[in-house]
Amino acid sequence: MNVILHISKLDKYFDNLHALSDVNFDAKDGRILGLIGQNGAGKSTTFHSILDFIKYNGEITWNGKYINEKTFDEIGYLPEERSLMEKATVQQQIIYFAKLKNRKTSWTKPRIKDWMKKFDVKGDLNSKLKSLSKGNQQKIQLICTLIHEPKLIILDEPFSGLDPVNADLLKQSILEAKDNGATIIFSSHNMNNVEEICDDLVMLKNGEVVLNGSVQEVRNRFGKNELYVTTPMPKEELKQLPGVESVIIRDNEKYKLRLSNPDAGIELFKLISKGEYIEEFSQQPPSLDEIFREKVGETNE
Amino acid sequence: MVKLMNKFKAIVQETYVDQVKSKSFIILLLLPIILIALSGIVGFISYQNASSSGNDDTDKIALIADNGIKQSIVQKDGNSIDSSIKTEQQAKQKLKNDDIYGYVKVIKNNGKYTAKYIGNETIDSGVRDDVMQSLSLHQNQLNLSNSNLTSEQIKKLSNKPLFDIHVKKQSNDNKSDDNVIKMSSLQVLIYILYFFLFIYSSITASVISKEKGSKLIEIIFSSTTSTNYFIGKITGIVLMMLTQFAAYLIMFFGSYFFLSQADFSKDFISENSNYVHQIIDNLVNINLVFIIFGLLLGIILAATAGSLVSRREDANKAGQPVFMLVVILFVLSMIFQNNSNNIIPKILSYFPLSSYFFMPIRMINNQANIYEGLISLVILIAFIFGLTYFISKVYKGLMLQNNNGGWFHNLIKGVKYR
Repeated sequence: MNVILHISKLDKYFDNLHALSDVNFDAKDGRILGLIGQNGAGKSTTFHSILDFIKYNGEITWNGKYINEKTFDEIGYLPEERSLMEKATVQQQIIYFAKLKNRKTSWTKPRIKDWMKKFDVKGDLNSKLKSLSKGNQQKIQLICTLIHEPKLIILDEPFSGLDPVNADLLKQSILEAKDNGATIIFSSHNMNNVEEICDDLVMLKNGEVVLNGSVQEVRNRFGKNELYVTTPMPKEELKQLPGVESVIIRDNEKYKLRLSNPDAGIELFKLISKGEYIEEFSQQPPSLDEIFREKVGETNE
Repeated sequence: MVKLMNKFKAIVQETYVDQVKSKSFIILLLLPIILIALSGIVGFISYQNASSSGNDDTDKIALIADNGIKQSIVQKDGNSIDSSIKTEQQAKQKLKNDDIYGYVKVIKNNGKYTAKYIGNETIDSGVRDDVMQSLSLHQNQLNLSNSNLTSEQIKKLSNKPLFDIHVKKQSNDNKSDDNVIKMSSLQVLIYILYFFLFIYSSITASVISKEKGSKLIEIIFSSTTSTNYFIGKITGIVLMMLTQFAAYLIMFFGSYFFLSQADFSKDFISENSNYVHQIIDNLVNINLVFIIFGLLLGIILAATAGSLVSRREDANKAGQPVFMLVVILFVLSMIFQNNSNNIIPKILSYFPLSSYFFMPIRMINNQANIYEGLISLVILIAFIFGLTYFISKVYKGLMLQNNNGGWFHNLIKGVKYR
């Protein structure tokens, strides 16, 4: 995979706050990168650095070049909070932003309807933006980000405030953009979204990179230490089994066991199934959510 | 470059169309018409009142005299004399009915004319003078014919003194005209600057500050440079101002043309057209360039002020620093408009923040020549360029940051931000 967005030694101070320290990561051509981290971890600051909004130390290149006016047209950026023009109609807003990405009115206009259908926007081309619901405004903002067919798509918290149906629509369009060859970076608190659609992930904590790699790599790095079982055995009994560190009750007769060592699974299968049919026995690496919590330092549930 | 221009055009167009379509702009355009219509209505009502009250009493008198005398007076004052009244009896009756306000009776007694006026109010002085003039003419003739003089004697008697007038300099009358023109030109200049500066600095400051710290500006700055955007916005607002200028000029010349053709006003206009032309001459020259660049500077300063507000919610207050400047300049120019060769207005006429007020004032007062004007104009334009360059460089930082400090703090922060 070709590295297309290269970030090296990115460092940023706001007054006395060390917002980013020695951040290094790459986004690869045609892949989806999830940028995760708590509030204030430096996700937006990273985006602002990529977009050249702020001064920073370090180097950021897109296709081997610095990002500036010349490369802006290839970028689609969705800011964290939505904000559209007060008086404009849907069509005016989309055409204006597309013009700023160097797409002529005649290019943009015929495409708007399809996008509105794709995102299931309630309202027509000449609806005033302020007459639309918040969710629909958000979709218009997304259309503005994507309609000019950018090569690099930067989405700051795109899923916040979307209901599951609309989140799915967004996921689909992100995957579609990927199929069309775009590179996508998005930030999120919600690990499920990241796990579902990301190829790679970077986790920031207090301005430092604590995880970096493909989703599978990162998960496997933590080992297949989790065992999901369904068994009539009581919790205390499971706890006594060899190699079991802790037991969490998921539901009636459903447990999640944490193993000290992935190899313990073979022995445990024998002990728990006792050679008979067992409804569930699944050994997995920890979910991103768990990794996230662990990394943040809040592993206790 | 082409890409940059396309985006620039889009920004200008968006700003311009958004503003020109707004209700407040349309009201602004119609303002002169509304004002003229209002003053027209007021004028019409007061005219109605005046003429209806004028109908109550008559403005005529009767004249009872010999036909020769009567004719010569009626010739002069036909409008003031009801010549249908022939006898004193009739006149008394008409006076009672208020059809006339008085009557003059001329009698000849012992070779002497006597005019006697009886009336409800004093006789109009113009009519009285005419009656006296006529009577003295007739009296002269009467005297001559009664005195039996020879033609030689008559000729000697008719010798008159001669008053020969030679004026070397321009007459005094013209000089006061000049002053009126100067004063009016200054007033027009100061009010145009004041009015437009006020309107456009408030429009600009609010347009700019509404985007302050918004995510909208982030999208824009991920699409084009802040310099391009800033200059595009300013250009859009300047075009809006020029639109208003053009509309007002069309209205002015349109109504001027109409009034100079219309029956009820053409005399007034032709009497005063000289004034109007000279006032226009005083303004449509380098002074117009000063006005336009002064307004441009006001817009740029207001945009800067707008980008320095702490929060979008402060948009209403954004223009305040510029308003202050405008008010100070207005007051100073009012104080110094007749005393503009003083050291203070002299300095102010070169200082770029005030030169567009004071240099035109001094030029109208003939205290500065065209070269001094050009020097001041060059300073002003250079200042505008410098300021625009500086602001467009720090604009990104100013607009993206969100601080709660004062404007100076925000400026420093904004400069450092990028």
